[in-house]
Amino acid sequence: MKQLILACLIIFAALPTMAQVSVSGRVVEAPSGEPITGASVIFRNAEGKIKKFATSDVDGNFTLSVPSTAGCTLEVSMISFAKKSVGLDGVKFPLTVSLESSSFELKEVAVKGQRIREQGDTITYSVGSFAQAQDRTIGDVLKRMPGINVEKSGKIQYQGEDINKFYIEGSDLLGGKYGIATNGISHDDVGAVEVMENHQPMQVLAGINFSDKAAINLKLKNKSKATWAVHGDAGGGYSSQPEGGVWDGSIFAMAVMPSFQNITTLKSNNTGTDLSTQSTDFFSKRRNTELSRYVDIALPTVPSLNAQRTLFNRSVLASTNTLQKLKNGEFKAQLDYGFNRVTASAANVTTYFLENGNRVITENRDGTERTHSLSGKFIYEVNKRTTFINNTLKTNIDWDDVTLGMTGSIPNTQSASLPDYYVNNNFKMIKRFRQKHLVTFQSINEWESLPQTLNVNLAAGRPEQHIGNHAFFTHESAAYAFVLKGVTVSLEGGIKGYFRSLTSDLPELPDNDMIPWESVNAVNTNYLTVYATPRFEYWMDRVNFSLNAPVSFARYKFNKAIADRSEAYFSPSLSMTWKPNSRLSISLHGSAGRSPMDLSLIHPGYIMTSYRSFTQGVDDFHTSSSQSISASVNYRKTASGLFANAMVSQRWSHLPYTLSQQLFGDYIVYSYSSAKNDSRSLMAMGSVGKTLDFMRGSISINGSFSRRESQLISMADGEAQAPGSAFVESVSTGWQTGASISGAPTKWLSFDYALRFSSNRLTMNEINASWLTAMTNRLLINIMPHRKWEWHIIGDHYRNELTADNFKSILLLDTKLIYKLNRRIEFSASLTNICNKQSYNYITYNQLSSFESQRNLRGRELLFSLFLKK
Amino acid sequence: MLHRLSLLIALLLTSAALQAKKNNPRADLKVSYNYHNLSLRDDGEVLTHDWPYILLSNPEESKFYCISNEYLDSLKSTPSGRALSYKLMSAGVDQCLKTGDDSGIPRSKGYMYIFKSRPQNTTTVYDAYGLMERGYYTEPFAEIDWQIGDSTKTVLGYECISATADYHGRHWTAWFTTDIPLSEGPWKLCGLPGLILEASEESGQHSFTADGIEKTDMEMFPIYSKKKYDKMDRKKMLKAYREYRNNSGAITRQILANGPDESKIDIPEIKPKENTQNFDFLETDYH
Repeated sequence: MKQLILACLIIFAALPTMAQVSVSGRVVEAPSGEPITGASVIFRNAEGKIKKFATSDVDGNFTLSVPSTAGCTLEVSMISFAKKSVGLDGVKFPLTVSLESSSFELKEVAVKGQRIREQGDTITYSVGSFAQAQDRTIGDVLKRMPGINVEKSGKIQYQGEDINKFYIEGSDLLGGKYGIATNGISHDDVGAVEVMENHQPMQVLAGINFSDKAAINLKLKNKSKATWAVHGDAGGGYSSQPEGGVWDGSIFAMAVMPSFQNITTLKSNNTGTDLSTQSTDFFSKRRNTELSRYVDIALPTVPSLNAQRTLFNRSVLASTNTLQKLKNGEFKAQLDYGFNRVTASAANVTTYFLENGNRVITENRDGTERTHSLSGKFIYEVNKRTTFINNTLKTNIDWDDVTLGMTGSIPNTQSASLPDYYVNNNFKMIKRFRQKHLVTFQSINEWESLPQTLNVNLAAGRPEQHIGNHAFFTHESAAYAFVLKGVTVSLEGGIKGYFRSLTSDLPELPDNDMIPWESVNAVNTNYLTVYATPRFEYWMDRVNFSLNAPVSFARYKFNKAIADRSEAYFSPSLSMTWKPNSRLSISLHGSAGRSPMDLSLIHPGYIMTSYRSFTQGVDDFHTSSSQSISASVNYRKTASGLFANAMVSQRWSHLPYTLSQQLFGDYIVYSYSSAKNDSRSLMAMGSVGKTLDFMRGSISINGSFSRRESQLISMADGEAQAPGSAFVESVSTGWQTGASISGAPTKWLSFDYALRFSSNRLTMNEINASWLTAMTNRLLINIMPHRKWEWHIIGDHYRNELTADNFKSILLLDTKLIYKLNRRIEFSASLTNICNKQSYNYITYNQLSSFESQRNLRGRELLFSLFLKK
Repeated sequence: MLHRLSLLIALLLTSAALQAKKNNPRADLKVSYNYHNLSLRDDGEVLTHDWPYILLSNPEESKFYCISNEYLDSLKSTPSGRALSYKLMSAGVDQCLKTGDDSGIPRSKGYMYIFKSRPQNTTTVYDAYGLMERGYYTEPFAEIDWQIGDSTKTVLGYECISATADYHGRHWTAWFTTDIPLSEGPWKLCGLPGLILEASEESGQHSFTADGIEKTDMEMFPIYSKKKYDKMDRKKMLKAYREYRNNSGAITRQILANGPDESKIDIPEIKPKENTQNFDFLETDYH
């Protein structure tokens, strides 16, 4: 009996297993036949429902037991292999499934919360999450980061304010020449960009002196540190205008080591990229030598178009920058050489509609400008919590030679030689004693010489103008500051000396009897100033309040040109910042004061500035006064990638002299006369940036408005007319708005789109001219059919309003094909200005004449390039 | 001779490089999950947390961790890092005191690290089990008995299929996609024929939702300062942590009350409220 029950049990237990089919097999790699471990094996029934699943074992084997295999399929998949489905009808087991390797494809959704992080005052942007396939340098990626704005010149702003430092791995190698880095460092070498808000670069002032500026720090990837990162590209091709060969090449080397940094770069092109902006020092202040160029001849330009479309250049840039950390402090040396040769030509055709037939006047201008610039900067700096020492020696030598030929009513050739020599040494030391006391010494010495020569070749003669112009400036100061519970009180005292001489002798001119010439200048404009600046700063919790009240006394000496005199100046300023929380910051700023006039305007004799224009300086010393108020607000919400800022400012200025223009035959004379010149300007601007995570992109929108009112008295023949009769009130109003959006909506496509719209109007004595608008659209589409290929299609569209309702539109198209052999080697071919539009001409009319402007564009250009990266 | 020598050196160097590569496996895939969880503070208030976690995975191994937590742990593993972490902490505290905004204080979002290894068939868990106390345990690979359901839904653009299972005391519903053939998921969850993009348990106290997915070649670094972790048994570790959490108010008070100068600070005691809603850890089978 027991045995029977047992037998029954066995039979019953066996029943279900008998109905089961064992689906077994082996997953192997094609064509080698190697087993694949960890492949996912899914058994789907006739409706496609998952009924069973398994994973292949170490030998690639799997087993599933299923009730039936009729109409069912087996699906085998594995990362980096193509998925395979096998219909199971009539299949014998064990089954061998061979998978073919294929690239691992994924619908990527950027890992969130990492694009922008916030830690206290530091905002960290992940570079990888903002870079698009078409980006090459870190500068390309910075433009996409909300909150950061890169101006056309390359200058970087954060939340509407210029940055005050640019660091690489925490070291300030380049100073204000950070264009070398943003245009050179490959974004692939940078892991993150850090923005440090309210950054005080001098550690000794940390927590004492409030800074409303931010600094940027590039955090390199580990693979790019402690080694030389080198990359370069070389390209050559052919252009139809200027006709001939074109080249574009560069080499960039960077070493970032714990105690040594170096960036060396060499670039050259004739494809329309102006390299001189890449080594511009964005932190350099106005030179205290205050020399100005009187000679004013400039090449014709093409307004409202991108420089890359219109610049006929040959440019070279060489720069080497080294930073060596010493036991105490660091030593930096920067050497730069730049060469730029620009040619430009323009033609203006004016047609007068006369009763006895039309009269056509053509004026052609053709010119070449060669600029060499050599500069060296040597810095020693100690930046510690108790001591700050900095000595900076800077030398600059520039040569600028311009020749400009002209045909027309006064055919002539002008050539100018404008070299500039400048040396500056700046020493600063700050010591902090017993936490609360700060002592500062500073010594600045500057020397500059700016000789100018203008040669004019006219049919009637060859006048030549020489100008000798040099200056020395010295400034010595000492300051003491005391800090107590968030309050800093300081007093700075110092002395400034300035010695400048100007010599010029006007040449013999044809038909010169028309102008009342005073032809010789031998002027010294010297001054000695003593000053004291009390300063009060309160900084507690979320509020910073600071007041500056500089008082100075100056004695001016002008060797006989005009009478010597003494002046006292007082120019207080007040600013306040309030941060109610970490997201919002509000600031107010106000200042008022008097300042001396531009001393380079003091010259009683005439100076020839171009073949037909002359300038004469003021005949008395003047001071101007101005007041300004401004308010700004910043908001950021890092978690959602939102940054916004807005600023409004109003400024009043009062000059007791005004520029007047007089015509003597064909000659124009600019001079200054005593007349009240009041102006008032209002400016407002704002911008909003936001990340667009769904397509790994970002958007930014900005707008600005400006309005400037000025009043002046019009002059005729050097005599002021009766007050009121020639009172001119001019108002210029303008606004502009722009938007840019970029992203990668799918794996194989990314794009950049930018739109800019602006409108301006000038009103004179309440007579309104019409609003003139200008619109620019730029779209780049990058198609990536395969990870090794990129295809760029670029369209530039401009629509400029020349006169009311008279528009000029132009569309320029480019394309570029890139093949990436691997991470280190890339080939590309680009075709710019596909339609070969060679000129930008436009005509404006009035009742009696038409005016036609003819400007050249860079023509169709084919360029092949090779890119190599270490 | 010179040739041979240079060949030898080259061989040595390559083998050294290979050795170095072998040490840290690289991931193929990086998935970010939001770990949403509710917990009870000792005063009875229910705290809601949303913690960002990352899953790094290749077909053989995976690591599930919180980036900010790993960053802090990596800092604390070296002396200079400890100094920096102290600086970050004091800067965050300063800001909090100044503005009341405590977001700058570096804080761990859970202490959990989960390492799964397919060849060894193990899951290793590193976690906290008390104030400053860290432990780890290795258990055989979780063979969760998933029941595949009929529902589908789209997560991050992927069509996902539902699956349910009881696991260590809770009933889980997971949503996985066969488009990504990795038998992986958040926390210890895995074993489905595709990546789990979303998982939640019945009571609503714990859930994981993927909010990003990327290809990657990131290294999967092992745990920092492994010495700090005590070898534990899973249930014992959970019990110890429960003990600590139930008394954390009292423990903190005791630490705070003993001032550095041996003075006593009187901190009023807060009676813990009743845990009526049964808030508990991810695993509840330790009771």
